[in-house]
Amino acid sequence: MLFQSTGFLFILLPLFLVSLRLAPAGISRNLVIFFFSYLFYSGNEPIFLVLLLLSSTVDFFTALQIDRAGTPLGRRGWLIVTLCLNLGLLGFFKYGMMILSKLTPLADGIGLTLPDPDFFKAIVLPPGISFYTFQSMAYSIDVYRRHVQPERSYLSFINYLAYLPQLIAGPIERYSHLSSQLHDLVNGKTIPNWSAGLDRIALGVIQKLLIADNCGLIVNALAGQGKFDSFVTSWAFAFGFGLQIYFDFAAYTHIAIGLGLLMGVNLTENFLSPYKAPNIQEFWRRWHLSLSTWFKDYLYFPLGGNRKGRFRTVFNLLLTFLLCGLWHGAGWNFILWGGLHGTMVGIYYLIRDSNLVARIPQVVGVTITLCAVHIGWVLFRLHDSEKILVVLKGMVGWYGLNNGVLSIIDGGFLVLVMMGTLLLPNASERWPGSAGWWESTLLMGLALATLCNIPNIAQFIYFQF
Amino acid sequence: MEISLADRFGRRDRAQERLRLAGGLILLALLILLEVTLGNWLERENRRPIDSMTVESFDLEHVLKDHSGQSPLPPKPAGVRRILYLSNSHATTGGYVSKHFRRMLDVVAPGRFQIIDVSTPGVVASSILQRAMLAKEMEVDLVVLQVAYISFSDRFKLAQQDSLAEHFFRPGIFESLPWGFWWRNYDIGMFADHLVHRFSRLARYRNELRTLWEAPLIAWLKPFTGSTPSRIIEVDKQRLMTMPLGFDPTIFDWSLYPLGRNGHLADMRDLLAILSRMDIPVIGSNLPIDFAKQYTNARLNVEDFSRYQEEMRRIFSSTLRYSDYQKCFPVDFTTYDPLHPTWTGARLHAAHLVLLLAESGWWKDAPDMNHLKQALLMQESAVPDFYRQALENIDTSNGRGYRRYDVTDAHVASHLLGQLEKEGWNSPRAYRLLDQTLLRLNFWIREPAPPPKDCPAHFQGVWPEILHEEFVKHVERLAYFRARLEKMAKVPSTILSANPKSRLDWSIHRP
Repeated sequence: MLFQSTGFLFILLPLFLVSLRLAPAGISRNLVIFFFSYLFYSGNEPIFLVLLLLSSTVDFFTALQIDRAGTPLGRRGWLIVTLCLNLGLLGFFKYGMMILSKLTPLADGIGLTLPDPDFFKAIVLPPGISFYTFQSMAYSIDVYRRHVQPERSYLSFINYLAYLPQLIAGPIERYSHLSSQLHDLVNGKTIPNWSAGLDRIALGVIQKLLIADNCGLIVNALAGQGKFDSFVTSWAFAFGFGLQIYFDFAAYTHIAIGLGLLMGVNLTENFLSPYKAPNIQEFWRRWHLSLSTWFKDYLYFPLGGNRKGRFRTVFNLLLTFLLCGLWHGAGWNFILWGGLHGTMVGIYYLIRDSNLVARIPQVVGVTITLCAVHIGWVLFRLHDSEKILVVLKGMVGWYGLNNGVLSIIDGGFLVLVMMGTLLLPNASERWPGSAGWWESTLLMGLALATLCNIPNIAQFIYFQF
Repeated sequence: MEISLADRFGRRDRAQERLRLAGGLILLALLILLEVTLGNWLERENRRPIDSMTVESFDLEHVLKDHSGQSPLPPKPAGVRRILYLSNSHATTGGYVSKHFRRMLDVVAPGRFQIIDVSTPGVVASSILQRAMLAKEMEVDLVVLQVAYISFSDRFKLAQQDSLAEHFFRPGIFESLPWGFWWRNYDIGMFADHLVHRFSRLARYRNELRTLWEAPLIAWLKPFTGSTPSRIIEVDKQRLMTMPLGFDPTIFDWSLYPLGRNGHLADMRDLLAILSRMDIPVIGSNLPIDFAKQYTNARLNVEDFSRYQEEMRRIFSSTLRYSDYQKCFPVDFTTYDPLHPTWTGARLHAAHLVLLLAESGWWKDAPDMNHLKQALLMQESAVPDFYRQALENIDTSNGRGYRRYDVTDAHVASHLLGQLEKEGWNSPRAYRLLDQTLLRLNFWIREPAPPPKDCPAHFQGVWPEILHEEFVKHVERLAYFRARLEKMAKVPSTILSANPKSRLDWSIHRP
């Protein structure tokens, strides 16, 4: 089910909020959250509910075991159990085909017969699995590190993983941040912020339907025709996709945060104007914060972070970003994308204290970062190495300046959106509380008009990760 | 940047809140006003009762959006029998099977039959089921069901979900659907969307609402955009008809159908059970696929296909008639792609249907087979208006214009030769036009398949005779067209004969 669908906005959401309001504080409210979150997640494949419930149940009990275990070895053992389970789930559904297709030739060599990798073709990736397994792993590790006490209420833990606004595509919430708020919500102690919540939802709807989906149409048309070879169209393709993925994901986050605010729950901000970043390191402090901080806290720091010398730091960065790339999908292009970002962040780490970097004006830094990030998006969007090469060559003018495929209106739209992205403040900067009354009315009006005029809506890109 | 709770809740300005509330109320009032005025107007404009119901297909989407509870058709006249024709793009792309069917019946039994074509591209078993449920309210006497292996399965689901959801909830349908069907076709988002559509005309007719302002705006912007469409204004119609993740080369597998072959067949079983409860007889068929034209990288799972055939035969065993066309229909009469019939192919499909009707016993006073054969063969020379119109509208701007047409048809051949003459024989455009045609020309010249012989329904030998005549004519005319082309265009014969396999592949790689 999609957040921006009329069915969700005008049927399921009001029902959820009214039920939550009417239910007495305590277990009833917990049950309401559980029911609506699972109903929402059931989508058109109710079988996935079983998987989510099973995963939540095992994680709940293993976390209790971690806490109860008397010895460090026991604690570690239970942690390994839960990590293996979560990574195993992710590996089976997301990377099964890739792993099996790589292992098959090796197995053939030693006379073993593995199942046909095509077996995985029929298996649909459960939505949000990358998000809820990461959230669950973070919880288990935090319990292991004694950063948090394990949740004693089964229903509360299930709701922590399945809380409707953030279930499908994050933000990947830490237990320490979300659980206390959910406890308050269940006990009637939160204060809903209707104004800010509705503003964020309206902004998300507009960003998704008016900006991201329209950028997507331009990008898909260029990709579909394979006409992204000229200088203009190759950059239009890269920037078009960069804007599409940013506004698509930012829109989802706006709606998720907005939904949270309607219940008085404050979810983590995921984006802080990433395209305004003056360097690549700063970009990753602003892009998909909940994921980048997850990798920082649970992978980069345990690897040693920057405490073990420059060489080891660069290695740690590279490894972290490679795995971050792999998190996005089982494809070499995602690994390459992660590798590119790891390399760029590594190089920046090595030269960041030099005079040269210090002398680079901000505007130049932003431009370089923007171009580098968008070269990366080409790897992210295209899975075919030949096509990637065509776009990259097109970006340096290999096939001429312009092939006339991009209409003036479409090109102008992309330029306008990019200018807006770079010059206008982020929503959370512009409206730290809620928008002013006229801005709010304008947002609502535009969102409603958009909903009434968009014939078909597209899924969020991050649903597939 | 951290945003604290205090930030979020700190700016509680009473005056601001009042103004915000006022803004919200104004918006709500405006929405209600538009719903009552514009929504009513949209509904009135878009409700299209079928008043000249001879046999043309109609826009089912509008029927499904109509919540009046009335049949979209006028009452059935006395002595007329209605046939619900239900298929996928087999019917809507290429040669128009249902139109041929109607024309043939009009010749052999004028005014006796009405064909209601509710076919839709990319149809899946569940949407067939929902469409078939219309049978009772339309007073249908027979359902003709033509489906293909996988039918390109679920890939169109998103584009069609509105009409699917609408139909689940029509009176008489909701309660009669079996639980298994609900489980297989469960979609909470779709159901919720339906509820909104039920109450809001603005939501229900949003496509139509958009066309109100889109067309004038596009016309106004044309001087700036030229012939290149602007994606941000014009709705990408193609998107409604394309796979969500692009065209999948492995089209003949079940990977995108949620419950695979078993789900598809279970839905089919439910459909037949419901029609049987309604006491409506069914003629079913498995449509032929030309696997020689299969898209690249696709691996036909032979075992799966034969199991599918076997299951279909079993499921349809209780129906009036069932034909597995893969065995008894010449797949050569498909267009450049493996499924859609050409004009000749569609005519043959329709002829087979007429013969089936006559043979089934359902058509009590059917003419004898030889009379039917003569009538069906005569149909070739009559050129209906819709075909003439289609020929006039052939898109000659690219090489795809003729790829769905038979160059063995005199009208198509002369149309194409005229275009080539106009373009200049040596122009790249002429070459492109020819190239797509040559694809099928080469295909036939290289390997004209003989008419299938193991067809169980021979209709007293009439069907093989019809096929034989068509084959002979086809091959003769192809040779004639080729000679004419070589002579008039001075096309080197090597173009027609050199490496036909690679030419074939070329076009299939780049449809």
